[in-house]
Amino acid sequence: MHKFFERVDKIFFAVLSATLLFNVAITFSQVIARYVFNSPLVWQEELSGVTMIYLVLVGTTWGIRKAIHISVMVVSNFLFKKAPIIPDILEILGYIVYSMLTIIYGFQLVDVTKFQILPTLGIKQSYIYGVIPISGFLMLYFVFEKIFELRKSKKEGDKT
Amino acid sequence: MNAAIILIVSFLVMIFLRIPISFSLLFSSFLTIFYLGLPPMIALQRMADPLDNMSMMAIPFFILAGKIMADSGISRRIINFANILVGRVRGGLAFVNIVASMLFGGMSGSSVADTASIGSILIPEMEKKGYDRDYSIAVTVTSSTEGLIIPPSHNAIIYAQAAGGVSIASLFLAGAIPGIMVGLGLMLPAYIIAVRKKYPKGNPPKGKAALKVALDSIWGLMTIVIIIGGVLSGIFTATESAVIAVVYALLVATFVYRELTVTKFLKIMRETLETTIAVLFLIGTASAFGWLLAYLNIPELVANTILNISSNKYVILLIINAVLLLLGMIMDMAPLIVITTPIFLPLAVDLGISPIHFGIILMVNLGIGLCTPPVGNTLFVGTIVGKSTIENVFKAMWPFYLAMIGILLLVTYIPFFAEWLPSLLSF
Repeated sequence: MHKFFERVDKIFFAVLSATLLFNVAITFSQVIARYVFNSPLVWQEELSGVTMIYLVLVGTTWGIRKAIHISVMVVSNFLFKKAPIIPDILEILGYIVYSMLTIIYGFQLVDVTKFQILPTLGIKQSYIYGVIPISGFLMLYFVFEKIFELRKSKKEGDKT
Repeated sequence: MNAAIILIVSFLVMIFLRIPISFSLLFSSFLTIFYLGLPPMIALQRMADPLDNMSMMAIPFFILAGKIMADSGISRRIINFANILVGRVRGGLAFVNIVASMLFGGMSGSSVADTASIGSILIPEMEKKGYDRDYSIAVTVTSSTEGLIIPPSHNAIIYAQAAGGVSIASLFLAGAIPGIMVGLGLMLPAYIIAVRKKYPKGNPPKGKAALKVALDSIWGLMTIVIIIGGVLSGIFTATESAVIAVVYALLVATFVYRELTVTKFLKIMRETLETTIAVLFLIGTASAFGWLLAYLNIPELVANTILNISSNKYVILLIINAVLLLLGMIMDMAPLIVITTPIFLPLAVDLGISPIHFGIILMVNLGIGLCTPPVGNTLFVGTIVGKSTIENVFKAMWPFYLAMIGILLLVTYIPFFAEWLPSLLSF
């Protein structure tokens, strides 16, 4: 199972890296187009915005693997000195709540924005907000992984 | 009033239970929105919208450029260059450390990257030459905060967003003098201790050899010219100069210094993604939270409370600084910028402090917070790189804390330092 998780991580890493580098490429092309050829790329700003929202909200779920999101440790270390598992469980519950909120209200947001069209790319605004419920579903996968790893480390901890 | 209590108390309870700050911001916003009976999808819309903004894109680009430069030989050449400039004085390596951080700060805005890359070269070197290990770590850690203030600084962009559209170019300009002041301020305790402990003078290369070192470092130093020159002359936006910096750093690291391997590049990408995603998600959720703060008039409430204690501008600034220093001890810089800006900025503006000046005060102040336990990322990284303990480093830190607080007070009470450069170029 661990191998499977690592493989999925690599796929996410590759896609997210490609998205960021793609953004570097189109923004740099914009600089060249604007200053060298004097004809700015009209679609660049919107496309950068769309890819950025996807990058951040998909990446946020991937990031819980490596605990990239900053937490305040001082108080909980003190409060749960004897039961460090409690904050771990609370954190996981938090991620599940995030999934529920983004899925339920994300779909509502997609629904009300389905008639708005982005001016230059010509796509629907709801395609952009669509990443919100997607991020909710992806979060469930990473929560599953987190619970799995937590149980494994607990079992190993019990053995020693 | 009840809604305000729900918003703030639920947020505090969640962060103390170790729910990540960004998620806590979102959840407390949802709770308050439920209580107020507003449509809950507002929270999600407020969270997503700031990400769709060209100037936000400068954050990942600056972080990426900084990491490429830190990991591919550019920082080592910057250190060599700083050595020719200041290596000769007593305690020379401490000065090299401080000046290298200044130059590095002109290319990257990350104090953690600065501590990791400059520290891993200079701390062992300083120890070999007879400097105390903890003194070396203290110099590295505190001087790395210069980079937060000296342009380019992605924290300045976070502030610009939180403050609701302050000009990034002006903020960059405003940071130049205070950033250099922090460096000069740190040189004072560094020198006094060096004399008292009889640390050695350095022996940097002279004449032709010095010229060779300077020429070797010129490619790295050019980054400063490109980024700062580009933004300040108004030719490029911050995002454009950030992307130029990425491409330039990639070219120099690959073709000139030839130290960028595929493995290194993958490590750089992973670290960049982790920092970028965490920071941008935080900006998003803080924007939902900030919208509610304003909706519930909380900044006004805080302002009135503080004004009840005193109506004297100088006292109020002291209070704000003290609160920020305390918060900086337990929280990281980016979350504090996004949370405290909407609360304190309106009060500061009422007192006649410009948003630019306030932004610089905030950054100098929170820079100190990165060096203080129990939560100080730069301090942690410095301690790990230097292989010491927080307790030992902390003992060596206090003269440097005093210097930084001294500079903070100067920057706070004399607006000239922050405002002179932007006013000169009439931004």
